[in-house]
Amino acid sequence: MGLASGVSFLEGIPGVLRLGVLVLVWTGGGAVLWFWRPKVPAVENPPAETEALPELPEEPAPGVLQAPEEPEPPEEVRTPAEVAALVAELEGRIGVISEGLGRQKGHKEALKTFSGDVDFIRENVFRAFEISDNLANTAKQAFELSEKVQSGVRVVTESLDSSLKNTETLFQQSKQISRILEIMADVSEKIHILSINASIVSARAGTSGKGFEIVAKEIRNLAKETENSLKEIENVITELQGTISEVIGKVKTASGEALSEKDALISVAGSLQGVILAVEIIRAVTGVAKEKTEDQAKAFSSLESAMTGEELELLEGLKAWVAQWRETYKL
Amino acid sequence: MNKLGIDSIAQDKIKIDLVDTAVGIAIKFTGDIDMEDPSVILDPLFEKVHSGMVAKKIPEVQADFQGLNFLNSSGIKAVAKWIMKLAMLPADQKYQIKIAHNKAITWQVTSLPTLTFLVPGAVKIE
Repeated sequence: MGLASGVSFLEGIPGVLRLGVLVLVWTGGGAVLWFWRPKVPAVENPPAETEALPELPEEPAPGVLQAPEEPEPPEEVRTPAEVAALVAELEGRIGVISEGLGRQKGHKEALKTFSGDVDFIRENVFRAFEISDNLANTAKQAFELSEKVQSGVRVVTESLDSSLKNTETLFQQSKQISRILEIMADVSEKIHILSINASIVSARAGTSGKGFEIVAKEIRNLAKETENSLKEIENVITELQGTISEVIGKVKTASGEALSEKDALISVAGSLQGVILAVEIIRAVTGVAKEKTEDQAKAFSSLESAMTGEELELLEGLKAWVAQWRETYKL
Repeated sequence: MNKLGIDSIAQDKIKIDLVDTAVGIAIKFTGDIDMEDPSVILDPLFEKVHSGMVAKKIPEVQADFQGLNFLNSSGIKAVAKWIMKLAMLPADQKYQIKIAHNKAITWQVTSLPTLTFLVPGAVKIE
């Protein structure tokens, strides 16, 4: 007894195994056509034949055909027409799977584009974060510099105040000198008058008064010289007072300018501090955006890797098997 | 005690008081926030305010900075973090934040209006 078998199909394609294997068996009395159908586990609520898709194996082999080990005796015989109908149904289901995979491919392409956009946004967020970082550092440096300048202006203002006080003291002292000079001028004038009186007395004394006359004359000369010196000193003092007044005026002006600069500097420092704070707000926002885009990029990556090409390979394997079966059985 | 049941804070150079208003609650900041890590004080405070506002459906909170002379970077970060929590709420749960600032304090004029950009429409400056 000989045995010829049709093409036997793979563990890797249980959908096919459900349909069974056409076996031509030679016995001593002739040929018998058997349709071998392997046992499949009973399903509690099996889907309707027209709607259920063939189950795919848990670990499908990538399209390699292998012969089954020990085919069991066929449970029932199907006619070629029934087999052809089953093949047509399978082809229909393969068509549905193809369409679904085609849509999945389209989604994958769209995901890739979207993922690319997310990457682009992430790059920009990173850049904004770096720029705001740089801006914050620049603002901080400017703020520190303005504080240094403020400190310098404070020192200048204090020096000017001190100079102003000293100059005013100098002015008061010059006034005191003027008063002393007035007193001295008064004394000088009295000495002059006394010397004139002395001359008169010496003239009355006649010859014995001549020596006294000489002394009186000398005293008169001395008084005159003293008066001239006092006048000179008075002129210098007056000039000095004029200069001191001028200096006081200028110091007051400089002090006023320094004070207003100090106020402006305080305002600048305040503005810079405000910029630092505003930049900190920007950093807080870009920091959150940075984290979110990183999470999005990871999510897309997981999604992409879930869409593998294994389903496509399996489908191609199924199509090849159906074509081969059609050819073998001339369906 | 105020509607949210949150105690006032007085620490370092800063004083924070919470008082009820006709439409909600006001948080008044007085003094200086210049400590190294103000988030230790501010984060828990803002968390309580935020969760209380949502739970009790209080429509408005005023953040009054008029008495605040100085605020450092870490301090403004804590404020920004609180406001960004508002952004995460659904529209029907969002409350209003009104920021009262002192126009005579330059840093307030420069920086506080930036906070309104975080949640446009929900944060206003006055």
